[in-house]
Amino acid sequence: MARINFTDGLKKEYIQLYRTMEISQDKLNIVNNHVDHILQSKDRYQEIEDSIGVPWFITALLHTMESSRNFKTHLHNGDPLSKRTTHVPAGRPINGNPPFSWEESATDALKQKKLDKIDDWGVARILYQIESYNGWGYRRFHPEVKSPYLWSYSNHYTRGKYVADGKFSKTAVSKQSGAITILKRMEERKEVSALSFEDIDVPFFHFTNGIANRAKDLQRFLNTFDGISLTEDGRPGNGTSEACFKLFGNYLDGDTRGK
Amino acid sequence: MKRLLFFIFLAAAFFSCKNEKDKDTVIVDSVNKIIVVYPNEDTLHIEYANGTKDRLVLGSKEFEYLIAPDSLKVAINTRLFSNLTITEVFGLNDQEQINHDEVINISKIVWDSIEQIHKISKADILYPKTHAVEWTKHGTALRVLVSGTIEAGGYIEDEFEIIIK
Repeated sequence: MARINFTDGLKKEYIQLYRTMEISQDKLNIVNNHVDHILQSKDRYQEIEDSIGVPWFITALLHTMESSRNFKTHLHNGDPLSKRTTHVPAGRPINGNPPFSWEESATDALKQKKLDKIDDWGVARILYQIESYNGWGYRRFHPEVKSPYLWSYSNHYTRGKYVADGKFSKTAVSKQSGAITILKRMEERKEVSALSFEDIDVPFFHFTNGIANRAKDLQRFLNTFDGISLTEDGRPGNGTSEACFKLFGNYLDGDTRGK
Repeated sequence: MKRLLFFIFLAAAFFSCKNEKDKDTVIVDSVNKIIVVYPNEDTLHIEYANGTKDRLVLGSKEFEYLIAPDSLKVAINTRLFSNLTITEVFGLNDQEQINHDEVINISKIVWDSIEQIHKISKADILYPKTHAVEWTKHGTALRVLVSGTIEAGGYIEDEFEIIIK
């Protein structure tokens, strides 16, 4: 698959998405269950981190997404550890002899994806690597749908997914929690340290005539000031940008009047 | 604690694609044969006996292929996403080129069948995989393994033989 580069634009998008994500409240119990189960095996994920430097929660999230945390299968693709992988990618791990320990296999899978070469695990990098691990199909062919692999059970995902026959369905809904949804909950519960953001300027709000996350909150806030009367429609366009200028002296990011 | 139900379906299913009205039909009556197939990056390069070349951009570096004994078609397992593997068969059309519009989506055939027989939705399968294992019946059939986890609990493991003429 064509590679998607880790550009500043993509970093901004990931950071923006992470900042504005909200876990669907009706799924909170399920997400909490994932966190609870992950924590039960934290030692095993930590062992991988101690060995090759991949943060324990990254391995835990991939393990959750790829095999529902089954320690009897390869992290590569869910094949049994009793022999080398037979499905694509076949023949892994290359080194060693079966049966493999889960740790041996996981180390090979993470190294194959070069995750052991990454030093800086900021939010954008985490999201990039997890989306890359799964594949870029949504971003390349259905950008209208945020990948459920990352965002399912959050406000960033509603419907649309690739189903078993490889075809995209506009109506199918993922019933598996997204990796970042679980990560966000882990951070909220302080099971992971507060995640760092890449050193890049990412405004909370961008100028757009479309619906934007939390834009209604912004408009509601702006409306509390004398002389500002906005329609609270969630679209941070001309009026909202002018109100920001009036109040803060700056138009919204992306408004050409601010150049 | 949730009770997990394990379903193991071992019955083989047979499909024929020889009906020309069938949208999945691939007519393979050319004498032009595949002589070289090699993967490069995300592309499978194919060369035929008459010197013509073709290529399939599979959109993934992670795929494997099985050329039929008659060298007239090739089955490809592609890891579309890390948790979704599909199988397709490409054949030659009457112009002795791969007909990109007439790909047999083996995964669609087997999952549609599983949906009907077992009253489940393919949209509800986690980690779905189809995997062509070998060409059988002198290259007229393909043995395919399929597996996946049912969201509500349970596991599907099935084996199909797809007849392709």
